Amino acid sequence: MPMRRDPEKTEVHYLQTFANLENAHILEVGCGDGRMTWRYAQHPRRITAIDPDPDRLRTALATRPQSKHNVVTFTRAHAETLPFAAQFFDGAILAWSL
Amino acid sequence: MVHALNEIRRVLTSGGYLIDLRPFIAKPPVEIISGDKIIPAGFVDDSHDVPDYLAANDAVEYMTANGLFSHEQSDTFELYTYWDTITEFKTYMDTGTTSILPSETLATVEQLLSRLGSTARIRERLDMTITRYRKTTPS
Repeated sequence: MPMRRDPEKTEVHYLQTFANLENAHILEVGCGDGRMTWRYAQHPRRITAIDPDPDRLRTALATRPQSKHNVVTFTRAHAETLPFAAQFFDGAILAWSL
Repeated sequence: MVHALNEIRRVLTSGGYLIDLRPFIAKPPVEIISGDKIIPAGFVDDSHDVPDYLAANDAVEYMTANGLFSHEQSDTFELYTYWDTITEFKTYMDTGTTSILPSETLATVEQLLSRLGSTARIRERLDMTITRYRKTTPS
């Protein structure tokens, strides 16, 4: 069996406790291959997930479930120059990325 | 990092929140799990990440000290990662992380797995911190 990170789902439990995800528009900064994104994607109205690494974004896109195509958007971007309008997101998640 | 946090703050709604979730830099323990036994096997060396970790702390401290975010809530928890074989573990340490696996830890893991058999598992324990900040406006 391959590596298993957090099979107990502790991380997403704490994320859901701390973040008001229900029906929110979330910016995930440093999403990588989407590992964390899929763990909470059922709650927000919309997720915009960014990462500067194109290879990891390709993996994230390849693993995006069909049911999430209208919910989760992956964009190549750097946190220092976000290509979004002001006051666009309800919450921002920096998971292992600050 | 301050520049990135300022950008994130710009795109948050008034009263929007920021969640900072990351591991403590604290030499995560490696353990062998066999049945209900947890046997210490050493640690992973993540000490070269200390400057980045401290820089991140300084960046959020700057933002809160200048009234741009307010600290609302923090907590810590343990996060576990498991491997079934020494090969999987070594592959991850070689390619999937910037942390370093000390040779003494690798030797201890190999000895314990050899003694305990194929049902034993390798586990790394990370101490995690999660904090919620709220976008505020300086007075």
